[in-house]
Amino acid sequence: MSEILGRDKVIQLLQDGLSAATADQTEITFGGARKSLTRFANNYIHQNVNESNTSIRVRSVFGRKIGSASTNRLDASAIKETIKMAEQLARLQVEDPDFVSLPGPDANTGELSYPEPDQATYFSDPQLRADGAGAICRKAVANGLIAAGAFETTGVEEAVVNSLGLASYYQGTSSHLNTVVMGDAGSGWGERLSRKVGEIDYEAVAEEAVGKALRSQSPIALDPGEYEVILEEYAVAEMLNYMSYLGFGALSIQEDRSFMELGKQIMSPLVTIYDDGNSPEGIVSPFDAEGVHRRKVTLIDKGVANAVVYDSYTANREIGKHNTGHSSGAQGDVGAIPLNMFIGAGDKTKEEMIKSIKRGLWVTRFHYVNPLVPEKAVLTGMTRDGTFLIENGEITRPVKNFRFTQSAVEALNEVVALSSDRRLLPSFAFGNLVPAIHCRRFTFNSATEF
Amino acid sequence: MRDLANVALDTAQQKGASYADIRFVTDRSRNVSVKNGKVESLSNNESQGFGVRVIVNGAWGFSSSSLVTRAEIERVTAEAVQIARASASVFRQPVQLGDPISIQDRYVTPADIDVFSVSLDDQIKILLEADLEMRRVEGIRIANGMISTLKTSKIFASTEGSYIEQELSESGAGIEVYAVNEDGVQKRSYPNAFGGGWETGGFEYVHKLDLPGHARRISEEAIQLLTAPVCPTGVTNLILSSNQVALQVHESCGHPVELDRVMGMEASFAGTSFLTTEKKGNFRYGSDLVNVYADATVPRGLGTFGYDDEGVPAQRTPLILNGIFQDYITDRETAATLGQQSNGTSRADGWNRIPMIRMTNINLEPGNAGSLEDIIAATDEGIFMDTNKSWSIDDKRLNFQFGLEAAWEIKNGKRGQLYRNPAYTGMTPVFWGSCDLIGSRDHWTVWGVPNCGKGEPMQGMHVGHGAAPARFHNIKIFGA
Ligand SMILES: [Zn+2]
Repeated sequence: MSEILGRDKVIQLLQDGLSAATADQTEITFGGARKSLTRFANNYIHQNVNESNTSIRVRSVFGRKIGSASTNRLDASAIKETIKMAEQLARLQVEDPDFVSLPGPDANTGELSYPEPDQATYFSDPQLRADGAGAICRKAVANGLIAAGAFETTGVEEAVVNSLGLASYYQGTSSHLNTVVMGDAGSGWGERLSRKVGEIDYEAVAEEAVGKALRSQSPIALDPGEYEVILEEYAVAEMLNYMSYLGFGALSIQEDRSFMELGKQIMSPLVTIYDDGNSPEGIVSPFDAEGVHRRKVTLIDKGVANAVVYDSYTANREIGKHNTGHSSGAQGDVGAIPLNMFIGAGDKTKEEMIKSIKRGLWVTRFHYVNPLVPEKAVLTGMTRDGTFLIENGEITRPVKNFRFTQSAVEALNEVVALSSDRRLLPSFAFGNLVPAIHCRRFTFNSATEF
Repeated sequence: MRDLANVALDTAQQKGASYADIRFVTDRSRNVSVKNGKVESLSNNESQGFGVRVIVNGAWGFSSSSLVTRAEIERVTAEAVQIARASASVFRQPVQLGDPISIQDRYVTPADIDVFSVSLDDQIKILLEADLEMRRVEGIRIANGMISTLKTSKIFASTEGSYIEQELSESGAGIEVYAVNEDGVQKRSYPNAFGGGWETGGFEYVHKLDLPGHARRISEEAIQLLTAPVCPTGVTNLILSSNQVALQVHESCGHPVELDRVMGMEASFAGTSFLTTEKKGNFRYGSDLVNVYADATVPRGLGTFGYDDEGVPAQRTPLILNGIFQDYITDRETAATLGQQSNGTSRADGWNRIPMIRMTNINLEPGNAGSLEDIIAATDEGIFMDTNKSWSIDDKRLNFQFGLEAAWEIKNGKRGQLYRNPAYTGMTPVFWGSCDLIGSRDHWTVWGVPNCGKGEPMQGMHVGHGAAPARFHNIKIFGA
């Protein structure tokens, strides 16, 4: 399917489905997506794909028994079969004493509003993506370098209805471009995310990645250890993503495995982190997997662990807690997580941050990050695509990549400055707007050969 | 379906494609998970659709849709052609696929008990029984259990005349527990972490795992870990459980031998590989004991199938023999650039993804060191680490670091002190060069890894690794 169905058609389709349901409560979720992605490597386009998909997911509730089923067929009989399957599964269930109810319409306050979806992004022209890829490849070739990357556009149409009267619908778009530009010994990175493909400045991405690749050649080996660091936005966004599922959701607190000690100063007073799915500065996603309007939640307030995000299930488990509209739809240990995070901007330029460092490292981005001690947000991973030595307030040499093993919470506790400019970068589903940060200490425990 | 396949193949050729293929795929899965005595989720999922891949003017295009109708196949094929023309505007040289392949066949995963024939009620019973056992041990905070069963039906048809039908089935199951105290969270799992154990075949695999029979032990160990000292830092003989050897093979052998990585095709996302083409046939990857094969034919392996998603038959290819690097895993396009034939490792994660080089079963062949207990008995001093908790490796697949669930000190051939939060780190060829004992065939398991990620858009893949417990000397260990 290549068309946008539109609010009336989608809600009608789901309401028709609801009328066939026999469970005490029923929720039907619709997802329609058109995704296109052009990939390049070795300075040419080697993969170029497009996908049109729809999905229907049904949750059926009998008392405190829940079953779910999904299909990607859209005809009326397929939806009815899926409802029947979910109901059949629910009947097989055992009671979940913690389950209270699906969210009702009162979970949504006010009218859902969202920006008009960008048609040029929703129905992106493959030639436009090829032009972006081509610009980066030409710039790489002109500098004797090799470019690889991906230029992606996504258009989604999402809706949730349930038998309690909740009905949410929106259309959204996003576009993402990344590139790694490589020389014989050293590489550079550039990346952008926007709601509109037309706002992706591929020439600027090419400039940034090529510039960094040229400066990255012939790195020196340094000893691993503790360094003062500037983490660029790319590295910060990556760290933040891991924190989102390790400790910013209510379930992780309820299960005693979150780094969030509510009410306690756990990070530098310069650090404020909030989640806001409705901010036009981000990739707008007005409601969660249960159709509940996303509230703005301040997770870290001037370094103090302030709050975590909830879905209906975790909110019902704690007295006095409200559903904040952060259901990820995922089962198991994920639960509610923030996916539209913002770190408050600082007041420094990157140049000022560099100038303030006597000896330290400039880290562009991380690679293959994984939690080593999840409950303390201790992460490990590699630096990649632009790691430099700072000496006496200047970037002097490229250095070979390090492995870090470091608590993200402690790193944010060591923040002494943040950049005033911020960049929108991918979260696990939407986008985070983050600054570059200057940390007094960051632990690198081994190095690699390049 | 042949008629619908021909709609795509004919449309593509009329519009100027020199090659086209279409895949129809239906994925069905059932998932049951239990947490702390209640059924956490019970779901039934299906996804179907088709994808058309074309070469026009020497460049690739691909488009796909969930709507399987004649009109949609025509539209999507035209879209794939249009996308290929855009690809051709940023061009190097025409794609070569090597010799044409024309095969008509049907493959069905052999299974004793059809995975969808076992009632969900019976599956819930198995998990609740294991759950009860896990939580019998005092102090367990979270007990999880899961069973997944999957079937995939695929049809592959190409303009070279292939028409291949496959019906694949698999199952996965596992349990895990978490215990918490003021020092942190401790976790144990069985038979493996991150999704349990997986095999192709029937539900007999889940019965064989006997989840309830291992529930008590993992709970007791999780509780013991809470008060165990942190793993010491040092350099020592490291003995790894076979499930960790499997992951070590995955990260430090399986990924570096992917020829698309070597050729830079994955550079912007997963990275490249240290294993550049001049190393083929002469590079010392590991000690003489190290023999690694890519084997898509090994019975029950999670990476076992009849044909890959380019219609190339499943094969067994030596990758490392007596420690010397022999060959890559390839698809038609990359193999052709080396003047070789594809060794059949090109797979797609569903109808809406293009096939790319993916591990099949990348197996470290068994040695002759017997069982895990035999290896421990043969070790004067060292440490035994069991079951993965964390993994990370650099983008050329050299510097790696793994965290594990539990470790035991080994002294004079015996297990001693239990340690929490163990980890080890190393460089790929040095590490494999230090391999000095590998367990025997009777202690060799083909582990399923259901969460290998690669490509943009991301493609998850189910792959396998034959592995036995093994020992490595001079390894840097530490406690996290
Ligand atoms: Zn992998």
